[in-house]
Amino acid sequence: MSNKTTIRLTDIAHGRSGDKGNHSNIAAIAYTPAGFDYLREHLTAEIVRGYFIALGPTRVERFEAPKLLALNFVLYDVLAGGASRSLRIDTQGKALALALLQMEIERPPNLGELVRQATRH
Amino acid sequence: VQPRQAGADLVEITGAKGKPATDTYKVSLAYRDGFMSSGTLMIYGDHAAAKARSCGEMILRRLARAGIRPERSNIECLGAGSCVPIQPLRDDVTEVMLRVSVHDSRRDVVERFTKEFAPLVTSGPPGVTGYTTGRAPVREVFAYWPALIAKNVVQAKVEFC
Repeated sequence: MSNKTTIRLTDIAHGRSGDKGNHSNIAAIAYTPAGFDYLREHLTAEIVRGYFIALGPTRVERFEAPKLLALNFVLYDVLAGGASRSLRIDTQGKALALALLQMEIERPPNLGELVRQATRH
Repeated sequence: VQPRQAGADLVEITGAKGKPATDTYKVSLAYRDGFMSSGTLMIYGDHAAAKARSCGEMILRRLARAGIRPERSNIECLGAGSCVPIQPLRDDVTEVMLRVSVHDSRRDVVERFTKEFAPLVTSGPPGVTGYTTGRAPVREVFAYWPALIAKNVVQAKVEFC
């Protein structure tokens, strides 16, 4: 890993997103418990709202699923009408989770505990 | 809840909580909501994103000049950042898929829109291509309205066939 002062969320978490009507559901799932602690402290609903502000969220709610090391965000009214009437290519917001993972964050001092651990094959 | 490996192929779940059933059902309503169409063109060359954007605006301006103003429209520059439109478009790509979409309650407005793509290939700027699938189809929109309905106004009936 380089000595840059920032990393991207994707270095410490994976994610998936989808839709319900005109609202988007975005999950950010940490790779390690330490990563989850980091997400819980830093990835607030307000930060996520600001990141996606161009999509015009009317409200952002955050839910915690600690056993899954996951945070789930509900972004209200961001899908330009929702799956059946949106004029966007990504009608269901399937790409939003990966867009969130592109977010630059300050490099945590304990980064080694946050990144994905090698798995046996 | 707390899962626990209680044996081989056996997982014990404890700590689950529940709530009483609500007095409403969820209903997934669909309603007719006009017509939509999307057309795409491949835009090639320097500043492809800005060029694509400009081509999209050209389509809508030509329509407006003919007195056609769709109720909703959207221009996307796919490959330059439009999939998740939260950042300025990238200027360093040489090819962009232009996608223009409209939505209107009048079918003829949407039909007229679909005829504006071919002219952009034949008499638009150089580097406009990809008109391979012909005129874009017009589709009727069935919009989705998730709602709740009071259980006491619904008569449940089960049929076997």
